[in-house]
Amino acid sequence: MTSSICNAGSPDSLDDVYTDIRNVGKIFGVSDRAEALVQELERQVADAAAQSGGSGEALRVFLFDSGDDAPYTATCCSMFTNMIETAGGENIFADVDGRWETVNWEEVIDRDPELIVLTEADWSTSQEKIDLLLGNPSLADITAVKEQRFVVLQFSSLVPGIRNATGIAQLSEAIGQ
Amino acid sequence: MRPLRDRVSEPTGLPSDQGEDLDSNVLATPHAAESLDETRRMGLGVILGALGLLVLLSITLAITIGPVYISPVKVWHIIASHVLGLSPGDWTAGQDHIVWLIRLPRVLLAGIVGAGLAVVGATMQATVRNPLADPYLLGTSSGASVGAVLVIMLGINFLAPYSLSILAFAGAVGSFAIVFAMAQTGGRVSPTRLILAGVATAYVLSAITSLILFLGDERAVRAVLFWMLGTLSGAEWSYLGLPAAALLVGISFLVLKYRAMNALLAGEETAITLGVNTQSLRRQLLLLTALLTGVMVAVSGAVGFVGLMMPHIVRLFSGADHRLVLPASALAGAIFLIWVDVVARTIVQPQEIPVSVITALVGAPFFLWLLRLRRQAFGGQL
Repeated sequence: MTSSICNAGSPDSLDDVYTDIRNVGKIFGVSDRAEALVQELERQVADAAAQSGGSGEALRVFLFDSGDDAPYTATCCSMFTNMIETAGGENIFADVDGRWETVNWEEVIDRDPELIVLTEADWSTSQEKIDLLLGNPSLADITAVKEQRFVVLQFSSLVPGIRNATGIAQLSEAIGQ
Repeated sequence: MRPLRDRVSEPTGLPSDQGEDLDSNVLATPHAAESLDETRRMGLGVILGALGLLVLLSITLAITIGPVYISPVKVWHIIASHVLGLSPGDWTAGQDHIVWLIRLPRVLLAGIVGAGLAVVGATMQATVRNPLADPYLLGTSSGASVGAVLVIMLGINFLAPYSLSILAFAGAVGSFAIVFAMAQTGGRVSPTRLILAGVATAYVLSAITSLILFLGDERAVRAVLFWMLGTLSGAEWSYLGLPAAALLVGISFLVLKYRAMNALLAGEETAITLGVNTQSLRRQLLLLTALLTGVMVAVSGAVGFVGLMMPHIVRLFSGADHRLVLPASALAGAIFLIWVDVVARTIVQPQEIPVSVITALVGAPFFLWLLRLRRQAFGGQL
């Protein structure tokens, strides 16, 4: 069982991912390769964090996964919250319990995200979501919608795993722009 | 108005050509007479005025309730600024959108749909003379569901963004046409045949819905289920115009026909004796209710129980005179659905519950209670 599932009570973190990689390395007798991979991932994450500069206030970011009448998003203890903090932003729904929850548009409007992350998945394409965001007049004054500041990430880079580092790099690039 | 008892015993005015001389006293069983007495004391205007005030109060309060806290004063400032064209005050554009573009249209839609379904329910109960009649008696909700399921599951989307509403409406009216055609015998439509044809058609259409659901994509099933249980989420101003217009036209027409509807409720033979052309009246009423139900279902999904229960609640207080039952049902239905929707969108927030879950949780116990009170509730007719 992976660490992130074991630690269901605590927020997802990259440390859990690294622990998993090292454990898998130990099990298969390739600890040195596992260690090299962890170091490579740590380097990528550090680069991404450095790039975002950490200057000024954290950018307000909303992850829009799916849904139309009510949006489905990542909350407090999801890997996304951790990733976006590393990349120099903050998840606007970091205060909501759980990992993935349905929230409502009122809260999204009220929390006014400056950047919206759209997941790319077969069951809910990023283009569908962009059309929805741009087509709804009640969402028109959200800063990220007004500035059309969207970034598309693969769903797989948002759940704990080796793709998180790539995801953080993408997020930090989007925040830096 | 002449004293009721005078009119009850008065043999004149019968039969008239269109039942115009017929008054509410055709239903003057002892119980109905008693409640009509009471009605006269309180006055038609007082009851409707009080209900009207309650509607306004409900709208006012319902808009201030929502996931994001905005003070009631600010909510009304925002609405006043839109209605009166004032310049914006100390609120954010986001708060303005929440109140004006999300909450207000939703609360108004709840009121319109609740009123529409309650009026249709009252009309249907008189038309087929059955206390169990509801707006979906003629298969309209199962017809609408077939339309909705086609849009959601098969992605039939050529009329976007109104595909769902248009196909749901087409399904509702289509099923009515089938039921109506099936129920005709020799150019006549009998209530019993209508009910049977309606139930049978609803079964066929539900089976089609289930089949499409079963064969389709699992992820879309939740969306379909939500729609079939009724939801007002996603309401926009553009959804309100047609249902509001249909409601006004429908109620006006029905209230003008209240005498004939009273006669119809008293029984086919009584109504004919009183000069009502029951066949033509029944056709008009059925067509009107089918169109109204279709319009409501198209914007809200199949909201259950409102159409069934509101007329009964109203009759318990008002007696059976349609001059009062129709407008009072509309107002009571509006109040009821506004509050049901408040519960639906707040009780497990940030998630939402389908409206019918709550209307039925209230409605089913009510119905059991009604069964025990049936003799009183229906003036001992049934």
